Amino acid sequence: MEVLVKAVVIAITGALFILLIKRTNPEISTLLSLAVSALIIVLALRVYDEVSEVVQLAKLSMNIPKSYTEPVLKCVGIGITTRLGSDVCKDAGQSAVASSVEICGAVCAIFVALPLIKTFIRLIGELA
Amino acid sequence: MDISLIFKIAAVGIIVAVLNILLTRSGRDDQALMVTLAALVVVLTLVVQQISDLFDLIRNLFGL
Repeated sequence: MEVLVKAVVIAITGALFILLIKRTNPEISTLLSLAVSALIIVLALRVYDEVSEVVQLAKLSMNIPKSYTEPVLKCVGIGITTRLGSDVCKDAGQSAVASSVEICGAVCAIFVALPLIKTFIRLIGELA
Repeated sequence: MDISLIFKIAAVGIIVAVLNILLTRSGRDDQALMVTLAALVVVLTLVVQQISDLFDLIRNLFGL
């Protein structure tokens, strides 16, 4: 819970400083917004360490094969990075660059999920 | 490391803002641009370090 409070405090002070600097030199304010969002994500990911331990425990106890859970985690990582990159570009006013980053993230996610899709298709082939 | 990074970048931004106004008021616009470029480089070095830490953390955590 205190992580959330800390993140909100960092976000608000960061946003105020970004507004302060935006009028005279917007490029430094874009960099500041990137730094603030990176900081908050680092805070959030530190909380995620405990969550991933529980996921490992679940995997071991229910012996779910690694090839099923690995793409899911990778897609989460890809999603976070893509989201961060495209929204910072959108803040800087470059919506074309932002959408191209999102397209690249989607392609990477599909690429990561390929083995999963293959096993899925093979499964359907056996059933049919 | 975390909050101080934001205050460092904000301080650089405010100093550059004041310097820009001073320099443009006194007619030396080219030096104002130089100051802005220098500040941009300084802030970039600070932010790049933070971003590389973030991406390393994401890579280790999600097995990318």
